[in-house]
Formats: sequence, C-alpha cells, structure tokens
Amino acid sequence: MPLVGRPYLEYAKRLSMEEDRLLEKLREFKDRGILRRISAILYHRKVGFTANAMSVWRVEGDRLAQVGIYLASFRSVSHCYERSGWHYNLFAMIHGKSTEEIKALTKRISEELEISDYALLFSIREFKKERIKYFSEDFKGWYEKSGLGIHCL
Amino acid sequence: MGKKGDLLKFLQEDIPLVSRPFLEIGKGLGMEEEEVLESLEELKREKIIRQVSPIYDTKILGYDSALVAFKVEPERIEEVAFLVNTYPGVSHNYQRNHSFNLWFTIAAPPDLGIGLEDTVRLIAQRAEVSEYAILRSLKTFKIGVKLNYESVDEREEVSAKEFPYKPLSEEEKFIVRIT
Repeated sequence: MPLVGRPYLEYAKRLSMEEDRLLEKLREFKDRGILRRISAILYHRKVGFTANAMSVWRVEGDRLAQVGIYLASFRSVSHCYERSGWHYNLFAMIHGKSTEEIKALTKRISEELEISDYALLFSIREFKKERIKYFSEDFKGWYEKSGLGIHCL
Repeated sequence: MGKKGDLLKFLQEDIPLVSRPFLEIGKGLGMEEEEVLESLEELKREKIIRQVSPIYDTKILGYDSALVAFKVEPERIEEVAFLVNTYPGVSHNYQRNHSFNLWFTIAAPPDLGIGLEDTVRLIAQRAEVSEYAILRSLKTFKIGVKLNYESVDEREEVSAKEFPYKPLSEEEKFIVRIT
C-alpha cells in the first residue's frame, strides 16, 4: 500500500476508478469475507518473536471443536485449523519469544486437556514468506514453463 | 516502546477504509497524520514492518489451498525449497525439525484447469521428492497474525466467521490484483 495521505486514491488511479467507488468495493469485499483486513505485516524476529512452532495435536472427533476453539483463544496462536491427511488433525501455529516458552505452554495445555499425542515442529529456516499475487499472469506462466500450458490440456 | 509501539499495535489491527486512514489512526493515538506517515516510513526503513496491505482470503477468492509437507534429504533442502518457491501460489515455505522437513502453503487458481493435487505432484516430481503429504483444512478456528502480546499464554476472544463463496467479477479480480 502506498504510504501516503490518501493511499486508496493512489490505488484508484491505477484502476482508473473513483476513490469512493474503490472504498465502496473494498467495504463490500469485507462484508463478503474476501478481504480479511488491511494491516501491517511485521518482520517477526525484529519485534522479538524469534521462535515459531507448528503445534500438531491428535484429538478425538467429538472434542475437536472445543479444543480448536481453546487453542485459538491464545494470542500467541495465529492460525488454528482442523486438517485432513495426517495422523495429527489439529494444527496451531504458535509465535513466541523463546522455544522454552512455547514448550512450556504446550506442555501445560496438553496436561490440562489430557491430550498427550502432540508434537512441536519448530521452524529452522524461512525459505519464503510472500503475499500471493492473486489473479496475476504468473500462474499461467509457471504452468507453461512446466510444459503444462493450458493449451496442452 | 512509546508512541511507535502503540502505532505498531494499531497497524496490525484493521486500517480503516476511509479516504485518509492515517489521519484516522493518528486521532486515536494523539498523533498528526504527517507524524504517522513518517513513523511508518521509519518502521519500514528499520525493517520492522514488511509491508502494509490488504489481506485477502485465499479460499473466498476461489483458490484451492493446502499445507504441504515434503520429505527431503537434508543436503538437498535448499535446492528443493528453491524449486517449490518458483510456484507463484506458494506463500510460506519453512524448514522444520521433523522427518518431513519442508513445509509450505500453496494456493492453486480456480481457472487454469490444473488443480492443486496435480500441481503438487508436478512440483514433487520435478524436485524428485517421493514422499509428501497434502493437508487440507477442514475447519478454520483462527487466522491472522497479530504480534501484540508479551507472553505466549495471553488469551483473547476469537470469532472465526465462515463466508459462502461467490465468484468474483472481472472488475473485482482487477481490484484484488492491483491492491
């Protein structure tokens, strides 16, 4: 987003659109759930959050929703999903200032909820963290380069 | 952290959809619009803020998405990660301490005729990775990073609303692409 007094006007110019119309569309996007929010993304490490763990839990079906809501209620949990495809079915991404802090929290939760089957997958290296360019031509380009252009199908 | 710290908290919430959003944010913090913008520039320069931008919902845009785990020989991890990263729908890619050691999120577009599973299979083939898992989300309990707490055990109220998917018009896709 252009960091100027009227950022939406800048966007609107690029879209050959009135600023008001763009604001109206963005509000509509929000109502429809397309736009989650407009906000700043930080460099985690720079603000002290050096530890990141994907905590994965095996939870029985009838308790899953309750446990999911509980894990999601921690501020340190940024993402929490039920997922298919693996032994573990509940995933909660935890951001902390040390690995010890995260280990202590998950141990406590595990004891409290009596769920012993869980694991912590700490991130060792970041290879990519980027916003997806939705509806860009890059996708088509990638498939074409891979010899799988849509013309081949 | 003072004013700048307060501003960081505000900026991770929701930047208002009004003509002069930084004027609005400044009001809540006792700051002038100019001051907010200067602090923003500074936070970017200091590499504290990565970017300020709209955050769109992958699924409601019609994209199929999943978390993917690859099992890679440790000495090949960089090479494989690089190849995975070439796909424009990969937003996060991390090495993690597990035998499945490379984890990435992937979104595949709705309109190109090649689905997510075929795309992942293609990436795995090209990377010569034979063991992998595609983990789809069945239910979302929370989504959204806000690094505005001191300790990992602080709690908050959460509501994860579910929205029905409705295809976007060409104009709407254009807005998403440009913003």
